[in-house]
Amino acid sequence: MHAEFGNYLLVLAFILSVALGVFPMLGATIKNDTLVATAKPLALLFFVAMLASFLCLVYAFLIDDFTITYVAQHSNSLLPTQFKVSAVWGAHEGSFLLWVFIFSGWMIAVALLGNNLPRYSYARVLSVLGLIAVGFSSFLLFTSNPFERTLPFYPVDGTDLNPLLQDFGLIIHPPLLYMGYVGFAVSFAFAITALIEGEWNATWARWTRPWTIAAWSSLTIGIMLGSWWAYYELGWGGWWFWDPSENASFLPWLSGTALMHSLAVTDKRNSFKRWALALSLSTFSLSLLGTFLIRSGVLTSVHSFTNDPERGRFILMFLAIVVGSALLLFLFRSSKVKTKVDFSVVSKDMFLLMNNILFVTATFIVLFGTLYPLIAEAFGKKLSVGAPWFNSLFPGPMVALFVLLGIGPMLNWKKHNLDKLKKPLTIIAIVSVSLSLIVNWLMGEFFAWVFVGLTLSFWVSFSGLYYLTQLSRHKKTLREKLAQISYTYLGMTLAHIGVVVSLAGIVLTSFYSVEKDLRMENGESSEINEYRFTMSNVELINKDNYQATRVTFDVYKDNQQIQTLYPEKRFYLAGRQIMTEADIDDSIARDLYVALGEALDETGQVWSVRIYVKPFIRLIWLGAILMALGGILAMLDKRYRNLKSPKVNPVANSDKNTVDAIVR
Amino acid sequence: MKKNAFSFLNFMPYAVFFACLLSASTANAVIDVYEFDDPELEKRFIKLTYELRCPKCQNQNLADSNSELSLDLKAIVYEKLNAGETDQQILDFMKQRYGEFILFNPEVNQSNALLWAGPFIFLILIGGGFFRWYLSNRDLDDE
Repeated sequence: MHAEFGNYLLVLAFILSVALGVFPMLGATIKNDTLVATAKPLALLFFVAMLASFLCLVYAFLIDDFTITYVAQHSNSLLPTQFKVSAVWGAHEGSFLLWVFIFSGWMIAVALLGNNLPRYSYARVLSVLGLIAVGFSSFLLFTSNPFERTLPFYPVDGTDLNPLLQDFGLIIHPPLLYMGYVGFAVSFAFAITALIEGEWNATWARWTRPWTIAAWSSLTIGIMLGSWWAYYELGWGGWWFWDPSENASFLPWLSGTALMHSLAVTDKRNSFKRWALALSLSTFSLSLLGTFLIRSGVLTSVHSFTNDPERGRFILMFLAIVVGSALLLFLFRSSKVKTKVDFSVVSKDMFLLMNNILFVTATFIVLFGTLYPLIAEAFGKKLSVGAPWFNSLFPGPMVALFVLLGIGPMLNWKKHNLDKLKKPLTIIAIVSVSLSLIVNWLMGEFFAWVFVGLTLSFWVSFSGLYYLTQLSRHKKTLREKLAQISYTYLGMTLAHIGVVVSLAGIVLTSFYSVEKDLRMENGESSEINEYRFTMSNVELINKDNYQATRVTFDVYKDNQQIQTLYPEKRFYLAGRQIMTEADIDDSIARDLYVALGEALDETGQVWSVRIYVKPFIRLIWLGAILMALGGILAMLDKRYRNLKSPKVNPVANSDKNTVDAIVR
Repeated sequence: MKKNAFSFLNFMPYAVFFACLLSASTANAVIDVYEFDDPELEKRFIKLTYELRCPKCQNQNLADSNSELSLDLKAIVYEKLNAGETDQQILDFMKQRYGEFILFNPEVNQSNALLWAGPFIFLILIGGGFFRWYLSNRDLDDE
């Protein structure tokens, strides 16, 4: 029953999305208010249908309904309950259902919070989202239906969820990642609407900004969770591999970062308009491209959803339609959007322009490196472009960005006299270089990249903090000082400090990590850095859905036991798969990571063991959390909430759209 | 935590379990543990196994892969390092045997010129485009 109901709801959602894509858009064009008024109810209904359909699949997993192919292939009666729920998005069909469901969540958020938009624009934005929903829901319905039945010969038990995915990380990583991916559809819809209406200005930018920042923050956390999950779950101790699946999420992130910055210029200065439009369109296009790359299987990645050429063709067609129409609209309509260039070389505008050039170049590097093997293969050459290539090119634009980042935020719009900044900036630079040298010296060995990375980290952090103290220098208490600084600046500085916290983590862990592959016998010890690892016990444990050998390692420092680690080698019963479960002692200063390789004798008393000591790796993810928090703070700035009031919106007072909004 | 839970009484499930483990991973227990006297050699070993792609896996380097083929290849890298071959010689050997596909770090040569130069060309084009736009549209109020 639930399967048919879920399926029926998908069909309903598809029809609703077609209606949403057509009626409000038509209504706004022919000025028919009845049609325009359908936008909100249609969006709400689409959300309800997707939610109910999603719950149907969750229910099917919870009751072990193996008459549904997708459930039979990705669940098992022995699976713990929380993983039965997360198994819903453990493979292609269900994860795409989650994707469309999350998309409907963004849609309803726009429908409910977007009432400060002029009526026709509001209808058009929702209608564009409806058109995207047509693509998504038909893809789900026609190529990836999760409700297909195995009847009449259904299996007694399911195949099981891939053991790698039976983990807390999988419960939360995909939902947040998808929130980021599809969230950029909102800025896309705003841009398309602006192009249709031939009007793109500071007011538009102000409407788009909080949505863009929201999507960006979710994507940041989504990527961070993916990296963290890969680190502890895959057993190889890496946190980023430049795998196509990682790149697929990194592309919209980089482009979205550029978009956020250019929207700031459009908002404050009514400039960079075509550029912000182009970035809005390309960020969502890159989200779709990423989806295509991962879900079609054209690229070999560690992340493989089942490879089905039909799905690939479908997404490619959808991508072509979306990008094609967006591009045509852009070419024909954006020339109406005029920008005056009235800023000098030393100004916030110019620094943001350079930010954009560098971010777009970084995006290009990742895109080019990811696609190059495909291009080369078309010309009959098979090669790999891996981490070393990315690592030698990607840091280039990043170093330039971080140098500029220490100065840019402090500058005035339009024109800035550097004289007053010269002294504090020189002091900050000297302090940063010295601190960086000290840390290098404390860590033991000198590496040029560590020196550069840490110097830049200190440089950006101190200049950010200095700027905050300057903004609030006329206030006395800390509370007053904080109240003086707007959420936008507070959030911005937090996010900027976040990115350099990650940078510091990246350089420290990349250069000072110690990795050892050892042959160890029960009772044996080995020393790595200042730590001694003693293998003290081997035991067999039985859990509901797996058996495992658990090896105990006592960790000593200065002859004091500081920690006991229990890495496991698991044997999952349903799928007969063997998995390595690493154990990690984490702290900000260093992670101790132990993973089991193979048993080297029949009794299981001798093992090959991989041990890592990874200094400061936590900073990488901590930095990402700070970035997302900064985004959330900036998003909550009251300037976005008071858009309806004309007083706080002097720039757009003359603007027809805003007047429209105020009247309404 | 009970110490030494391993005793003769519960030995049987152990043996069965290990038989499973061993048969499922490799036919004959391959020892993928390499001991180096010279730490410099160990560094080179780690670097090489990170830069070589496991030819049979989805997208993994030799260091992270446990497939039989990459265990074999790791053993070859180990032997060759100890025999005094240079990194380049080892990479060349691998390339000859498995094609350019095995190199995660594409060679800088004429046929890969576009790959290595692409990002720079892009930067020059976009940077140049912007500065032309800036210079030709500039309209400063006070200059």
